[in-house]
Amino acid sequence: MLISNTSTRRSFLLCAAATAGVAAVPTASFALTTAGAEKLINRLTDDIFTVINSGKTGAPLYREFNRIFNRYAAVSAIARTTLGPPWRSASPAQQKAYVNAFGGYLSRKYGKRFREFIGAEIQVVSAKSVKRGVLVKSNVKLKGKSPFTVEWQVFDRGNNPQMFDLYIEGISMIKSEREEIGTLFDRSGGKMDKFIERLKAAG
Amino acid sequence: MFFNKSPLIRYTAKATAMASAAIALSACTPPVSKSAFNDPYEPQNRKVHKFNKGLDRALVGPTAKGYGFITPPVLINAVDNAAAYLGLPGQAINNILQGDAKGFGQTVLTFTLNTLTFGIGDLAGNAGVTDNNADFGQTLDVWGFREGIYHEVPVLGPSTERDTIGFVVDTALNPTNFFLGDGIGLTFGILDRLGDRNEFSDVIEDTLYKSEDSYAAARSLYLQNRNFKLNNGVNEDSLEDPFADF
Repeated sequence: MLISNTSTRRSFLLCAAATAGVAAVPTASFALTTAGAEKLINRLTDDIFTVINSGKTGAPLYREFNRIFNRYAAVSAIARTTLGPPWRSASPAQQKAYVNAFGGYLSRKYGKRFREFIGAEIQVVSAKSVKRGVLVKSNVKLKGKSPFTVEWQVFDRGNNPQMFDLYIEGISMIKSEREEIGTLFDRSGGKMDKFIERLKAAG
Repeated sequence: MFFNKSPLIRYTAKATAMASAAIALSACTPPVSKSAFNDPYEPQNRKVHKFNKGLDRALVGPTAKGYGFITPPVLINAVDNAAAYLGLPGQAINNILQGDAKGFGQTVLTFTLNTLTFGIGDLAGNAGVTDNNADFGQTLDVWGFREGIYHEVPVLGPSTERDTIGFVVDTALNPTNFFLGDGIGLTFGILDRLGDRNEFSDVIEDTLYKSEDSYAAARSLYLQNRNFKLNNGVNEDSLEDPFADF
């Protein structure tokens, strides 16, 4: 596999040792540590790159992404935050349908995008505690292109670290999707069921 | 008089005049609007966006692809490096204006190493010297000037008041343009942009032609990415709240 993990693991162990004493102190009232967040992102990126380099395309590839997404990310929190106020006026059944459609939409959209990452190397470089969880920083190197930064926002969801947002060169997935989802919602005349149907075909 | 004919003096006078004009202009920034983005001229901006999109579809996109198709990757790389190299003297000035000694050291080191390749290689980058990309928009930010309104500039695309002033000043401030003539800088600038348009065509075309609202998408991407660069990372205060209640 093409992911260089040796130094990642080493720095992870160092960080784990370093944070063991510090983690109890910070402002956050939950048990999320920078080491725990790094571990989650290491596993997540390992899984993503295994799928990217597996040679799968189309629907089977998107299914794999959806599975990874549901395993590591707080899909319902992401879906809710992206949609904003209309979430509140939706019925529980609509909320559930929307979260499912949103997961599929993201898997298709980012699945297509991630195809460009075949053969890329990703390395977790650091993690820091912030007000809204832990921000894990990683570098992605694509052959013949300048390296770029991907940051992952991890939060604690009932003693279970989960990925919430990702930033590619500072561009937030949630903030960008809020524009897209908002426009799609408006174009559906603000009707939840119609919007969900359109979302199932988008991405 | 002798002094008036010295290029260095004429350059210093021109650069100082441009910087002063920029500061005077920045003071005119209107108050921040109430929407999520400071975009009071959105209807006009959308017209410019439509024009830019048409330009990309008809001319820039196809030209960039043609350029990418006929030019060997080695040459595209050399052009990218040369364009970056020609910007280094201007970058060094911005490092100084920002009082950034570390950045200035990086820029000088990059310039020295890459001069060995006549500017067409990137020895510095290969040796791991960090690229700081300082520009005058950033200098204005460091000096405490506000971002100002968002606008889309014909041909050039998304910008803010501060960044557009920065772009104009950088063009005037860059010693390369002054001493080698504007033509060289402009030519490499255009080729560099075409190279980028070709290299990032997937992302650019997704944004322009596949998003639900390409104007809003481009605005959001530009402002987020610019903020990230000015901040040297994601601004912690801008992180989304996973427990937000609506």
